[in-house]
Amino acid sequence: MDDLEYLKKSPWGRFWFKFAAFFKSLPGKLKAFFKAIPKQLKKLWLAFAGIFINIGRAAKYGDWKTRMSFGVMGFGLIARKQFLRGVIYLLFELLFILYMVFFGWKYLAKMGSLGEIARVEEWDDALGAFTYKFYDNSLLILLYSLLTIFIMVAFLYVWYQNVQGNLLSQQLVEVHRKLATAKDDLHSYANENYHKSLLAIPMFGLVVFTILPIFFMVFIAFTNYDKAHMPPNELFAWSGVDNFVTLLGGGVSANSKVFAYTFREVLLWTIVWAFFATFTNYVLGMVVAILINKKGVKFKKLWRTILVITIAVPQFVSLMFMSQLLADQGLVNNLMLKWGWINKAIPFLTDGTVAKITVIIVNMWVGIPYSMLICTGILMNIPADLYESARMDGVGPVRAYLKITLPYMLHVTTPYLITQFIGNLNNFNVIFLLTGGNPSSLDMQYAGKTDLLITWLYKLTVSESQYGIASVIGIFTFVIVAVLSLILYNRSKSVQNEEEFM
Amino acid sequence: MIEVKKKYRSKKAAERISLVVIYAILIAISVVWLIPFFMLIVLSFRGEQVGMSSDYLLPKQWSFNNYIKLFTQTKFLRWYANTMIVSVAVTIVQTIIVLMTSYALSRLRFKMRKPLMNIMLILGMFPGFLSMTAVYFVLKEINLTQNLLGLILVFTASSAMQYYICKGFFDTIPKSLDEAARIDGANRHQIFVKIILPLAKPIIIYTILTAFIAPWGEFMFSSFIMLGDPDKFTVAVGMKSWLDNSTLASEYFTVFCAAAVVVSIPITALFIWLQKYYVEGVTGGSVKG
Amino acid sequence: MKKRLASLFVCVALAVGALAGLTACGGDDSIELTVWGSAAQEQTFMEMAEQFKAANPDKKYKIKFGIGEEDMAYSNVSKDVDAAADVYCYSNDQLVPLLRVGALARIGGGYLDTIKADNSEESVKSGSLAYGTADEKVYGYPFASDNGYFMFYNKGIVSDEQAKTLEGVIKACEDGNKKIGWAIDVPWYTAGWFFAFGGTYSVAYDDKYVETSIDIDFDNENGIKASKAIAKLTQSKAFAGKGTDNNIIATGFTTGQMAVAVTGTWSAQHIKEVLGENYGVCKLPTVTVGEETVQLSSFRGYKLIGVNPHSKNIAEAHKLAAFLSSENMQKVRFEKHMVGPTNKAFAQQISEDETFAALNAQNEFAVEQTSVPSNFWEPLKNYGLNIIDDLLNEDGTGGRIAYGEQLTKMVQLIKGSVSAS
Repeated sequence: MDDLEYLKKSPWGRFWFKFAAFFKSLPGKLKAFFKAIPKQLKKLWLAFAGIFINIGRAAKYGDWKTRMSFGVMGFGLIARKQFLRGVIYLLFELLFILYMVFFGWKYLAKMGSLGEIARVEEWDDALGAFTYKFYDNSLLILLYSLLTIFIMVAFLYVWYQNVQGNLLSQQLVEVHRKLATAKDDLHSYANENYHKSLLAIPMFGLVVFTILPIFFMVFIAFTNYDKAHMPPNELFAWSGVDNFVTLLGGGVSANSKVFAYTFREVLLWTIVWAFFATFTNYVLGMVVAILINKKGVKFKKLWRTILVITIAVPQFVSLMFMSQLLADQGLVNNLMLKWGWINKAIPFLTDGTVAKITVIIVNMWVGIPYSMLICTGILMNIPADLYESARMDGVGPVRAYLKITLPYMLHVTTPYLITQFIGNLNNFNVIFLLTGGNPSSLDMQYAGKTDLLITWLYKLTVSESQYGIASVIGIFTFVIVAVLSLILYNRSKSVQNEEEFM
Repeated sequence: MIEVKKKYRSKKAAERISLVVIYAILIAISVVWLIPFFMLIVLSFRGEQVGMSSDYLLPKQWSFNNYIKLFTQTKFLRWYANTMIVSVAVTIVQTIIVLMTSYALSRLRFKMRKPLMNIMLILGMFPGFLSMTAVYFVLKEINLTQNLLGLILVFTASSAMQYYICKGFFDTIPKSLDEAARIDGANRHQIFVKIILPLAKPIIIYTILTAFIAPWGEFMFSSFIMLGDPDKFTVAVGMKSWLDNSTLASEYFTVFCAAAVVVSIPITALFIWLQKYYVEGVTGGSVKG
Repeated sequence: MKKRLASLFVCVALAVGALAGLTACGGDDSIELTVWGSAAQEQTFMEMAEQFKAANPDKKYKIKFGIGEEDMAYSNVSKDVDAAADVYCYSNDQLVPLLRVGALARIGGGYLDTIKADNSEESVKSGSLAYGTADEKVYGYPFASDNGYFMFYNKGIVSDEQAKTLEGVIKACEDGNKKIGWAIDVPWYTAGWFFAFGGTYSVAYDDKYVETSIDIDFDNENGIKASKAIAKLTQSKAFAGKGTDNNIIATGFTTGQMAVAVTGTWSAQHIKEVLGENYGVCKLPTVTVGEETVQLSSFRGYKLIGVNPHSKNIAEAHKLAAFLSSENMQKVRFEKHMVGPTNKAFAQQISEDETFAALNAQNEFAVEQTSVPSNFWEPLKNYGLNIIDDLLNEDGTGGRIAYGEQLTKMVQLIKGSVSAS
């Protein structure tokens, strides 16, 4: 299709064209993504080699002060009167050594086996009771070994910085340049290094409470951590790719076929759900916003406020209340039965198909106010003269909507739509509090007809303690969602044009 | 001339009809949206101990008993205070972290900026509670389980990932302002505090609102970290514990409704009051053409 | 921003301070013990704790109560056994999973002798997997015998005679336009129908409490008969429907819409209060399928108090558990919550009570609940749902699935968990 043909299309046509083009290009994009990997790896390797070259240089050209700092961090800096930097390096090294000696080492040493003895039971005559002593805890060994590795990596990075910094100071002295004083250092953290001061705390939290746990779960996928191997009572051990095999249907157990089937079913419904949940909310939210914002409609604020109340009331309250309302023997069914509207209770939450529709509708009740608010803001931003000139040309309201409003909205809100879609893929609250994943079925394992991947994972871990296999599912979900949305994000206009506003 | 007038009049009539239709739709929508709350409020005044499976809505006897019971016979006040403490602390810390991160990512240019943004984006897609066990044992090592501080830490530690909307807002503030200030000799820190922040009121309020609400509705982490200690529950965990035991549920359902009303009122008021900024913040940040 | 930064530092400082404070505390010499029990009995537990303190004036105790429902003991405790209560209540179907995570301390010495002497043999047995053998290890202080169910009915609607047969019950309720609350979608109640027609199951474990074999015969013709019997109930217009729980039963009797309910002693107080003179209670009815009439069966279970092996004061924890399960405390529980006793002497005293007479009468036909296959509940629940949804019939005609086919599927799922781990 050439440009002319494209321009001839209606806005909807254009949207669908782009939409289809995106999915057509997806395989190519993925291919390019994987093709780029070797190149990136090479780049990484070069950077890596560069580090060693730099260290070698420091060893070769460094004077004794600089060389001393290979062992005693910050030594050269202190010797050259850059006390603040030097002392911080030295302190860091001391802390690291203390950490390794008193904490890190004992876990790291056991990472290979994940422990040998879990607990011992003994009769204590004096107490008149059995007493228990606990030794190795595989979970803690794995978790703290990873933490230790993180800290070691951080240490190596700081150590490298230390070597470089020492060499730099030495070279500056050699060419008779003034060294940065402590005051200069502090100032730089409000200026050229300001990003470091801003990001230090946020990134620290992120590493410890998000990245470390994610690494932990990835490693768990390669262990046999399940209900028969629960620390601290039992140890778990490395099990290679067994969990992956089970999930893909190659397991030896009689139930693994059911398991693989469940995975496919749940995955499919997750995608269907995310699609409908996103688009119903978006389209209807926009309609409501347009209605409220129409010229001549009074009490705009009142209408908006009524809808906003649903955002303000904590979701768990409204969802738990709804699930009680809509139960087979809940108030709604009872009232309708009493008034003679129905003869038999409607299985809002207990029939597979009906329940799927119910959750999407209730989700609209929860979500439309949000999209309404967002659309309101954007609608106000559409230049009024666009409509004015359209009116001059005798364009009716419906055509004005199709020609001006809709393309503008779609264009502007793409990132929002993507975020919503991803959010819905992982929408735990609505499903968990409303149906709990039910109704369940004999064809599925530990999952019901409305279970999303995320709620299924919850059941697998919290009630079934199948941590190993749950981690595998978590990894699969994560990879699918991450690859899809990275491509989507980086394609979307607002990210590409990030600098436009500056 | 007459014809024009006629056309004008018919157009006006058509507009009036469309307005009537719109009002009808809006009223219908309002009813649908308000009915659950209406039911919630009415049930909270039900004097008789009849739960959700009854076949009538209006109480047979109106009374304040549920509210009295809520405040005298349950730990609700305690839970309310817990949640309030957590909420306020989370709001303060999270707002600061989000603002710092967003400013750095929006205004400062450094080597790891783009990768950092992508990494945080990806991390946000990981099913959060899969990491719950690990987070729990990290907290346990520093003695913060069964502890409100631990909960605050969990809620705020990863706030940086919520930079997206706030950064979007900062992006819309013209960069020429920064440049002018730099010429006047301001450093980056001064620009952030004196130029950008005063312009960011809507997004600050938006961040505060979202941060404040989260602990009221979060259930998973709160119940895990407070494992079995009812003195440390947040309202969500506590109120769910009433309905978890179905023997208790028949007695506590109306109390649950009363608690829900008590929890909702201040947040709703806050929301209605700050609605304008919320809209400005979210539209300014989440979308830009 | 200076202010903001300052406030941030204050936050961090506070955090550090609190941390330091936390790790430093624990100076006084009182013995801290935590108890987890049902939220419904919180008040009672606190009173019992006071009595315990009074009975042991030589030591200083600090006893805290936490919410942990007996039937959810595993999912609560397994999150972090180390942080779980020193002493907690559990229902005996949780025994195996709890043992698997090592959440129960073995009882020995004087405590064990007392338990055996005071309580009924079945109740002590329910806290052990190999009771009466050389490898007998007991893991719980029994305190409640009422983890079973029977039938409550409104004498104004259902006569004592009608209450003896399912057919009579259904007819009375259909005529009176009342509901029967019987949770067919809760497998605990569904299983009794299969036992009644001769269904059996058994599980064997290895030394780590992992299942090594599961036998279950719910998929033979007896299972089909049981299914037909269930359908008799669910297809009646008197059947209350899905989701019948204690809450709905309580409300149903209050509003008068429900005339019959199958539930346990925990519902007794409320129903008795509402029905007054019309309070009727008896064992489950008989049911007739074809020519065969059988007495409906049920699960029989106990509730026990377990001691956490991670407890820092394990000896004190045993002392408290023994106290909480003693005769006097069982009396308190009976008076306040109608909890059935396991104590032989006290059970004798209240054998006249009509509610417990009904429980005991039903227990004659009940099946012990200690070792249930780990994947037992979910498939059985789904089978029950299939019958309620009218998806099954005898020969698989009319777009429905045959009972036999679905039963085979169910049994396969139940057996399937064996080689899973």
